[in-house]
Amino acid sequence: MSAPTTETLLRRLAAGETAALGEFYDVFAGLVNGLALRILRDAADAEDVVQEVFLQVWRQAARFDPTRGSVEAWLCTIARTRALDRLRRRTARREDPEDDAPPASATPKSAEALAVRKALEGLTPDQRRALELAYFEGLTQSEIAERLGEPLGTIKTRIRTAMIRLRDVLGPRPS
Amino acid sequence: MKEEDLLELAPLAALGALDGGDLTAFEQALESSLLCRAEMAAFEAIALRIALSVDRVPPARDARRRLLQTAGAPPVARTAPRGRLVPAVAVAAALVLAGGYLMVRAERNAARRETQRVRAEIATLAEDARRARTSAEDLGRRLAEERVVRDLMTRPKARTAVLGATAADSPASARVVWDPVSREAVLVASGLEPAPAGRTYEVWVIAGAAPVPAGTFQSADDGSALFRLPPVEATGRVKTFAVTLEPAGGVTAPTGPMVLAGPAA
Repeated sequence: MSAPTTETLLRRLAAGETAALGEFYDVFAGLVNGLALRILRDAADAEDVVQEVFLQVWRQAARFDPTRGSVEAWLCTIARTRALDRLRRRTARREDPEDDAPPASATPKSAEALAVRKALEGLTPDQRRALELAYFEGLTQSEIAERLGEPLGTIKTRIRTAMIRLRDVLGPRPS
Repeated sequence: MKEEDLLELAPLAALGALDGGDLTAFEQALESSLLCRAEMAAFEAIALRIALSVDRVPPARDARRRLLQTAGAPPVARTAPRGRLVPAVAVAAALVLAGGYLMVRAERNAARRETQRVRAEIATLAEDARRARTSAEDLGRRLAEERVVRDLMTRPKARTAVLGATAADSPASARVVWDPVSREAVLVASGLEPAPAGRTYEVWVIAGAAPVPAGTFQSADDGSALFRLPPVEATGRVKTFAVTLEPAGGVTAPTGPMVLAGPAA
C-alpha cells in the first residue's frame, strides 16, 4: 500500500471513522497476526493480541508520529510488546500451548522478507538461536546465557556479531 | 563505561536484551550521546526487519467482525453531553421570563468575568502552543541530525574514526563517520568548548602530504557539535581526520593549534 493511502487511513482513524479501521485491518492484520503467532505459537492467543493491537491503534491513531518511524514499525512494536507480555504471563503460569506453526497457506513473502530470511540463514546456528531468543522470546542477555548454558560475554558477542552481520548484508531498508 | 563499550551494547539494546548494569549504563548514555542514539536507531531498524521477515498470516475470518463490533462505539465522547444543556437552557429561560433586572446584571457581570478568564486562558494556551512549537522545532532539528548520522551508519561501507584531544587536560573527543564511496562524512563531537570570539573550528582530511580543508563549525554551549563535512575527494582515501582552531571563516592550510585528531580505522 502506498504511503499516502496509509496516511489517509490514519487520518480517518484519528477522526473516529470505524470503516477506516476495517480497511486498516485488511492491510496490516496479516503482519500483526504473523508476528504474534511467531512469538506465541498459539492461534487463539495471537488473535487476542491482534484485537488488542488494532483497538490500541483505533484509540491512539492521532498519536502516531510518522517522523518517528513507519506504520509497520509502530504496529510491530506494539504487537511484539503485547505478545511478549502475554508470553511472560503464560510462562509464569507454566502453560505450554499447542504449537500452532504458521499454516502453509500463509501469504507469500515479499522480496524484502525473503532477503531478511536469507540474511538470517547466513548467520551461524548459534548466532541465529541467540538472536531469536532475544527477539521472539523476549529474553535478556543473562536469561539467554542461562538458557543456553553459555558465558554472558559469549552471548553478548554472539548477538552483537549477528546484528552487525545483518546490518552489513541488508544495508538500509528500501523506501 | 567508555563510549566505545556503550556503542557495543546498541545491538542488544535494540532487541530489548540488555539487563543489569549494562541496561542502566546504556539508558544513561542515550540521554547524552548522539552516537548511541544513532547507533540504537540503526539497530532498531534491523530489529524491525526481523519482524518483517515473519510470514504474514491472516487471522480467522471472524476476528475482523469482532474487532469492528468492539470498536463500534466511538472511543471517546466527541460532543458535550446533551444533558448538561438542559439546566442551562432552563436557567436562561427563567431569567428572561422573570425579567429580573438584578439577576440579568449579575449574569452579565459573571459573563464578563468568564470572558476575561477565558481570554486569560487563551493567552496561556497560546503561550503553551508557542513553547510547544519551539520545542517541536528543536526536536525536529535533533531528529534530522540524528537521521544524518544513522543513515551514514547503516551503510555497509561506513567507517568510523575516533578523534582524541591533543591537549592532555581537554575532555574533548569526536568521531567521524564516513562513506568512502560517496565521500559523505559527519563529525560528532563532545566536550569541545565553544571557540573564542573571532575563531572557528576547522576540519581537515589528511590523505597525502597536504591537509585538505573540510569545513568550519562551532560547538554548542554544552560542548557538543554535529557537523556534516562537504564531500571532498580526499575522504575516499583518508588516513587521518583532524580539527584545528582557526580564524573565523576558515583558512586553506592549517595555522592554529590542533585540537582533535585521529586515524581512519
